[in-house]
Amino acid sequence: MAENKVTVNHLPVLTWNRLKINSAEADISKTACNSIIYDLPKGISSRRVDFETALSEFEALSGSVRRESFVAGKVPIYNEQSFLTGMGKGVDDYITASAIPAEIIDIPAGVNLSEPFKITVSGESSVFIKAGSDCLADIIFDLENTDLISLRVFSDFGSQVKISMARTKNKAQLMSDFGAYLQKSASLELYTVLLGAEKIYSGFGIDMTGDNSRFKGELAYLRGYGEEQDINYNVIQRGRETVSDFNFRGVLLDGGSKTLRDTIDFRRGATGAIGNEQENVLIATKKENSILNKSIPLILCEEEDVDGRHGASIGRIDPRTILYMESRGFTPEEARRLLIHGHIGSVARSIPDKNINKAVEEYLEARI
Amino acid sequence: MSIKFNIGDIDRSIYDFKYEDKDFYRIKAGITPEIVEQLSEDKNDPEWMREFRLKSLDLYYKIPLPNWGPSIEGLDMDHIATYVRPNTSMQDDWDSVPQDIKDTFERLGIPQAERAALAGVGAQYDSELVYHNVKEEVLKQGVIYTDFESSLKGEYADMVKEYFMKLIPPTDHKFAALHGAVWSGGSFVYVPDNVKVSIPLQSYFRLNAKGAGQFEHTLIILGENSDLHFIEGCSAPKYNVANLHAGAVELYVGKNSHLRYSTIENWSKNMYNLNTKRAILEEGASIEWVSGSFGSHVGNLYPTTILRGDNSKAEFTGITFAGQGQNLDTGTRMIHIGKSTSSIIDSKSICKSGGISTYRSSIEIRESAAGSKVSVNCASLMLDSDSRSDTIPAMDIRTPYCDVGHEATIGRISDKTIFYLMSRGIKESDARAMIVSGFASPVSKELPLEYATEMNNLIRLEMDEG
Repeated sequence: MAENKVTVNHLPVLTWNRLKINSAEADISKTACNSIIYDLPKGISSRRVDFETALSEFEALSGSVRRESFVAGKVPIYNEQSFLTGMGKGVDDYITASAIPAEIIDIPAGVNLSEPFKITVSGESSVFIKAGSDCLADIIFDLENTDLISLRVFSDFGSQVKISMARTKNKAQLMSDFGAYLQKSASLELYTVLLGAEKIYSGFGIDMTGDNSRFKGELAYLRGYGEEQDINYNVIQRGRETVSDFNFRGVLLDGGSKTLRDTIDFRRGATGAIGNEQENVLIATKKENSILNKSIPLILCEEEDVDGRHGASIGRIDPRTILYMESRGFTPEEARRLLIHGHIGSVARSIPDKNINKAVEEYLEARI
Repeated sequence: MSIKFNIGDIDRSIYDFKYEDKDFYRIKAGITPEIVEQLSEDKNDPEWMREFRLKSLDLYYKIPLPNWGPSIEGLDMDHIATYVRPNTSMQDDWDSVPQDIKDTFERLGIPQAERAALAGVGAQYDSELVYHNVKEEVLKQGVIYTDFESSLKGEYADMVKEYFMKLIPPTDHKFAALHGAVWSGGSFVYVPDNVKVSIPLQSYFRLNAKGAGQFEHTLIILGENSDLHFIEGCSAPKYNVANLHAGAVELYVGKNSHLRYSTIENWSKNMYNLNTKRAILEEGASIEWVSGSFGSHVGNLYPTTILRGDNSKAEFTGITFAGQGQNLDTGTRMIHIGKSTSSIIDSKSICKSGGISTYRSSIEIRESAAGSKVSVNCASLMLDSDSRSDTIPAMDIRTPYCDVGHEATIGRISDKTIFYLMSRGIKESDARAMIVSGFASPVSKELPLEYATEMNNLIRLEMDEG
C-alpha cells in the first residue's frame, strides 16, 4: 500500500498559524480495490470514465464561474478548483495520481424520481451526478465500506436533489469530499451522518451561482476515545436571493476530537442572499478526560444586501434538562442517553432508509 | 424608486494638521544594528537594555512576515525613521512645552481633558514624551505614573526590568521583535495593593513626523485589590508616505484587581498600525477592554487577555469603522487557563466606501480551565457593496467543563426597520443615522462622557440625498 500525505480542508482565508486550524494533513493509504454498486431507476444512465475526463466535463458545465486567482483579502490558495469541493484540490490530485475511475450518473431533465435509490461505494471511489433541469431525485449513499469518496453534483435549472450519506462501521479512516454547483432555482438538500472510523475528514463545497438557488444541509457526528473528525464547509453565494442553511450537530464523548471550519462567502452581486449556519456541540463526557473542540465559523462578505448568520453553542448537557427528565421518571443515565440519541437521531431520521436508521440506532446504543 | 442615502466618512479635519520638524533630532531611516546602537546610546540605556535591543533586532531579521491578514507591502522599513525627538525635555507644566507642540495638544483637547476628567496625563510627540503630570492626591496614594525612560533608572528599575517584554516577548512576532529593538517613549504605571484610582489616567500619542515610526511601550502593573482606568488616544496628520506604529502594551492585573483600558485610535490613513496589547490576570482579577478603531491605512490589533488566575474575568467591547482606503483587521484573543474564568466579547464593525473590515479572534480554553464560560457576539454592518467585511473567529476548547456561545451576524441597515421608524414620523435620513448610532452605542456608552462625545463626533454621519 502506497502512503500519501495530502493537505485538505483549507480555510479560504488564513489566520494565526499557531492555532493549527488553517488546514489539515491527512494520510491516505492506497486501498487495492474499489467498487460502486447501484440499481439505477429506469431512465437514469451511468458511465465509467477516467477522473480527469469527468472533472473536465463538469468544469465545462459550471463554465460561467471564472477561476479566481485572487479575491480581495484572501490568499492565493483560495479556490484552486474550478468545480469546488470541501476538501480541496489535494484529493483531486490524489485521485488522478491513483487512477481511480469516475462514475458519471446522468439524471435527465424533467425526470421525477419520488422513490429514493441507493448507491453503495467501497474502497476509494469517485462519483459525478448530473441532475438535469427540473428533475427530482433522492439519492442515498452507503459509505459503510468506503475509505474515500469524492462526490460532485451539478444541479441544473430548477432541479431538486436530495443526497443522504451515512457511515456507522468502524474502520481506520474515512475521507468524504463533496462539491456541488447550483444553477438558477436549483435546490439541494444534504443529510450526512458520519459516526464510524477513527479519523474522518469531510469537506462540503457548495457553489450557488444560480439566482434563487437553495441549499439545506445537516451533519451529525459523534467522537470519543481518540477519534478525530475534521470538517470543512464552504458555501459561496454568488446568485441573487440564494439561501443556504447548514446545521452541524455533534456529540463529544471522553477523549473525542473535532475541528470544524465553516464559511459563508457572499460575493458581490448576491443581493438578497441569506446564509445561515448553526453549530451545536454536546459535550457528554463521563470522566474528567479532555476533549478537543476547534471551530472557526467564517463570514466573508462583499455584498451589502445580504443577511448572514453564524451561531455556535458548545457545552455540557444542561443539568436543568437532566433534572426535568428525572422528574419525569428517567434516571440521569437514561436522560443522557436519550438526549444524545435525539441530538444525532434528528439528522439520521432525514435519511429515508430503514437499514441506515437502524444501523445508526444500534451504533449509538453500543457507544453510549 | 428607492432613494439612496450616502453616509459620510469620518471627519478627520481636526486631526489633520502638521508642523515642520525642522528643529527635531531624526535618526537615519532604516533598521540596522548601527541605528539600534545609536538609538540606545542617544537614550542612555542601561547595558541590559542595549543587549535586549540587539537580540530583538536579530529576531526581527529572522522572523518572517505573517502569511495572514492585510497586506503590508506598502510599508518599506528602509524609509522609516525609528526615532524622531523634539528638541525639548519632558515638562510637567504646559507653559514650558514648546509652542507648536503645545498648540498641537491644545487643538486635540488634551489640557482641557486633564483639567476636567483626568488624574494624570502623558503626552508623547513622535518618539518621546514632552509632557507628563500626575495629580498630587494620586501621588499620595503611592501610584507611580511616569515616562518609561525614567522608570528604567529610578526606584522601580528592577521591577521594570523584571516585567519588560515578558508578556510580549520579541519572539512573539516580527513587529514585537522590531518593537524590542527600537522602542522609545511610553509610560510606566504602578498601582500598589488596595489602591483604587477613582479618575482615569491618560496617555496621548501624536506622531507628527513624516515617514517615521512610533514604538512606545506601556507597562501597567496593578497590585492586589486595586483599581485603575487607563485611557489611550492617538492621532497623526496625513502624509503621502507610510508611517508605522508598532507599540506594545503590557498589563499585569494582580489578585482581585480591576483594570479598564480604553483606546480611541485615530491614526491618519497613511499609518500602518501594527500594535500589540496583552494583559495577564491573576485570581479574581478582571479587565475591560474598550476599543474604538477609526484611523490607519492598515491596522492589525488584537488585544489579548491571559486569564491565568481562577475566577478571573475579561470583557472586550470594540468598534471598528473602515472607510475609503482602509483595511482594518481587528479583534481579540482570550486564553483561559484558570478555573471558572469567563470572557465576554462584543464586537461591532462598520465599513463603507471600499473599506475592508475584518473581525479576527481566538478563544482558547485550556484543559485546566474547567468551569469557564465564554460569550461572543460580533456584528457587522455593510453600508455599501464597494466594501468588504469578514469575520474570522476561532475557538479552541480543551475541557469538557465549559460553556461557549458564539453569534455572528452580517448585513445592511434593514429596510423593515427604516420603514417602521418612518411610520413613526422619522425622516429616512434621520432613521438611518439613528440606526448607525445605535449600532455603535455599546462602545460609546462604555467611555467617559468626553471620549464618548469624541467618538460620536468621529462617526458623525452626513446624510444627504444622492
